[in-house]
Amino acid sequence: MRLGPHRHPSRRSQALLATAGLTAAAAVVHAALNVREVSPVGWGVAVVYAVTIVVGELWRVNVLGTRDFTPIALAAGLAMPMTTQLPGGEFTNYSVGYVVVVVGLATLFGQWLRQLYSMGHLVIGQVASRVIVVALAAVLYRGLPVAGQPLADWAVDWPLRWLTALAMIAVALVAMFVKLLLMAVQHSINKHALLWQSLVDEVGAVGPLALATASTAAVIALAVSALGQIAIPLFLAPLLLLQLAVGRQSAVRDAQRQTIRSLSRLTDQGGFTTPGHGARVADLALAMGRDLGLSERDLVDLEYAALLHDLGQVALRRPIPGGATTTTAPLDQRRIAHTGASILARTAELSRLSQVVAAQSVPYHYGRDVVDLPLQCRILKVSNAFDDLAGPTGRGQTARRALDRIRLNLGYEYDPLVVRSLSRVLVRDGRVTPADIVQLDL
Amino acid sequence: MPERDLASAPLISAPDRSHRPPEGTTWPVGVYVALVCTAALLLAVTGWRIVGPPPEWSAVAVLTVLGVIGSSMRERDLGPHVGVSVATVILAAALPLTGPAGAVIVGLLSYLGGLRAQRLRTRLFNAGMTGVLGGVGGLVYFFAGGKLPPADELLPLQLLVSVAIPLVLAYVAMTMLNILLIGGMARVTSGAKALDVALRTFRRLGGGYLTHALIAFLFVVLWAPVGIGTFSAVLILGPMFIAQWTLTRDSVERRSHVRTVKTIVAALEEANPYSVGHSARVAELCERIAPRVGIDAEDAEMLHYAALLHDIGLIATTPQMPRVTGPVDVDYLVAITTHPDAGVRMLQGIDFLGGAVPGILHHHERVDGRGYPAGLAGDDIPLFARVIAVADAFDSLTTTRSYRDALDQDRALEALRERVGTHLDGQVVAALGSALEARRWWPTVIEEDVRSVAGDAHDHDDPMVSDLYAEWSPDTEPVL
Repeated sequence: MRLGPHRHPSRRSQALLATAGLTAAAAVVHAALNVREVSPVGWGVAVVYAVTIVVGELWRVNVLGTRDFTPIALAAGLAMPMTTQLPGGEFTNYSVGYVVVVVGLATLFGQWLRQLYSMGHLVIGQVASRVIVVALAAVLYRGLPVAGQPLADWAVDWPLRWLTALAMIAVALVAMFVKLLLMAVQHSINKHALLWQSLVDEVGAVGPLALATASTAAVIALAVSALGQIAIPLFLAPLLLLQLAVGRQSAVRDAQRQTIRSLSRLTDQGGFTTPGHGARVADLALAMGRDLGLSERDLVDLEYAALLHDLGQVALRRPIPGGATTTTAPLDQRRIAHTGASILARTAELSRLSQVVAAQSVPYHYGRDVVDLPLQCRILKVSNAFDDLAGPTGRGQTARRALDRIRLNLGYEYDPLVVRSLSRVLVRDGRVTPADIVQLDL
Repeated sequence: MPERDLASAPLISAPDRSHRPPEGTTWPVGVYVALVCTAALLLAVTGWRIVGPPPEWSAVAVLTVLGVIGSSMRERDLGPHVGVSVATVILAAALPLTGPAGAVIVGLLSYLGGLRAQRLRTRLFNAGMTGVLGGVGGLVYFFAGGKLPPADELLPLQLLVSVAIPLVLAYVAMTMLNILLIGGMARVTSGAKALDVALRTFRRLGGGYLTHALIAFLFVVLWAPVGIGTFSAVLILGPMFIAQWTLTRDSVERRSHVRTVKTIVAALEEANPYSVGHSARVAELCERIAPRVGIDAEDAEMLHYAALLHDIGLIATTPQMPRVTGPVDVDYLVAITTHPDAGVRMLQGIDFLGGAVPGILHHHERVDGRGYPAGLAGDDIPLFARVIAVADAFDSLTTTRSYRDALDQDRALEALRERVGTHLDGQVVAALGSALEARRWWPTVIEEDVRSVAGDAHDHDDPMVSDLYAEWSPDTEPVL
């Protein structure tokens, strides 16, 4: 995993690395002990699997943001432990350790090539999660006895091929779930999000792709037993189509995000707001949203609403000095908010944001007394106020003063729950010290 | 495979823009559809006689159910030449698995039972066409030596000779017949030339369409020789279904993205009543000019974005602009020349708009080299910018201004023709002329009461302002 410059490896990610390291060490020993058993044809098939994994690592389409999900490499990695028979009545005789070592080395090599051709970084955390996932699949299919013998041996005896397929899919699905769990852990560490919410988000985002990857892994394992190694690239074709489709979808989403980011700079360019105000408000709002456990979908809405919250200012004849809406009269604040909201309300897609943008001028106590103000509105209000008061740098004394101003209106203008989340986020980023928070009595 | 939208049919989906004929079936269409359906039934009988009945009726039933699901989803394009269509894969897989007679049944029933709302005539045509394709494909497969090898003597080479090659041949034959039948349908419904439509459909498909044959081959191999049977549908078609579903959502998001940009641009224009709808109109004019100056569909989309966003930089310049009264002065000219630059700066972070940037940056250049911001001349000006310049000037002339009324199409075009060689590109002006012959352009008239409220306003797009700039800035050395 890649660690930020100022961040110490957390305990969870250290545990992940340690587990993967131990697994890899055990695998190497196990592989060395049993390596003679692997049949010559088995070596040939293993080479094709390894090449496929390397290619899959290199040719990864951007799947839904920066997620570590490479369908092709993963399908090949999961198919390998489930490959037992080969055409002509031969057997691969892979040991659990052998499979883990081959997949782990191929993944490492693929990632190293990525770095070499500057397509990305070698991320040890991704290799570690691959090792754990494949080791799990291998142990489940070849190691763990089910009613007397491992699934791999049962599969040879079963006359019904679809039963074999079902067993393989079950194993692949279990492994895939662990993969998603690891991704969620990683995400919650990197972004300081809640683990449960991260898991729900990962399942929602890559769930269908993960299902298809699991079924492709089973298909490849089955087809190799009938056709030999030629089946590996052939039967990846449907998954390849899916990968392209998903890549296209993420490209559209990225484009949409970029568009909104750029539109948020419109008010900067016109001199209505300080440069980068929208982006800063959005970043802070996102951090608070994750801290408070918003779902990914709500986070996207929050981010977009935060980016566009000052759009209403473009209708002003002359810019507000400093662009800080917090310091203007409540009536003006409301007018700006409503102009922005009415612009957004015109498209079906952005109309969800318009409520959040419109409510940015509504004081918290009003929301509590009269209507149920969504959490996103309360977050946006606090985030905007902090940036208006603390300015572009927003750390140390300025941040402290801004927090102090916000504290004066706590419970009236701002939601105490959200302000507490703000102080957590600020302390974590080192913008204020924990002592400041105690002193301010937040 | 291609399908006809008005006959929203089996294989390839026809362009969404196909003109819907008036309601009420004219008799040639009815005869054509009836002929196609009869041909399908005849093929089923012939196939049965020559090859025999489908080996397994259960396979026919399973494939038909899958086909109904597949045909209920709209086919999606994945990039320029790769489409994803579950229904096509199923029809191709039916050839080896059920024989010609079975393939006719699978094809007919899949589209007859499709859950998409469509007119009866469309449904019948698509069902009949798919039936014909299945029958012909099945016969080609059979005569090319296709058969299903039993599981115990399974060799890759044998699979290649007895399944893969016949399947590809049959698939190619089906595709050709498919586009011809669609061409025929276009002929009887809208009088288009059958071959033209067929050729256009063919070009849209490209080689990537063979992917379906490959996946059908995998499906067949897994079904019979490997011996997984029905369960292979889940394994192979699962990812395909998810891919098609993903692409469906993708195209929704794509449209929503365009709408987002459009809405916000439109909202920003409302600050000035004279500019309401300007960007959208320029975008429409550009869309009409584009095919006539050799801009293909993909570039046309980029041009569309460039046209929508060409004046976005005005947001940055308007607050600094002197309040306008009286004639255009130097202060105004200085302020206005910064807007192309400002617009490009705003769009810098948006990768997918990279191709639109030259069009936005140079849309106020003049072919005599006396425009802004760079003072480019002639063919040095990017094509997009030359197109937008013409559309921009034309829309300005055909819209009411505080100092003059809107010109009508012919007078505006006349004014543009006079500017060829100094301000505008002759080829683009000619293209606009021929585009307007095909469909008239109505001037945008702004009512008196709106005008009196808005007061005086300069229009920086007015060709007059371009001339004033050219006079004021005699130095023609490039600035950028």
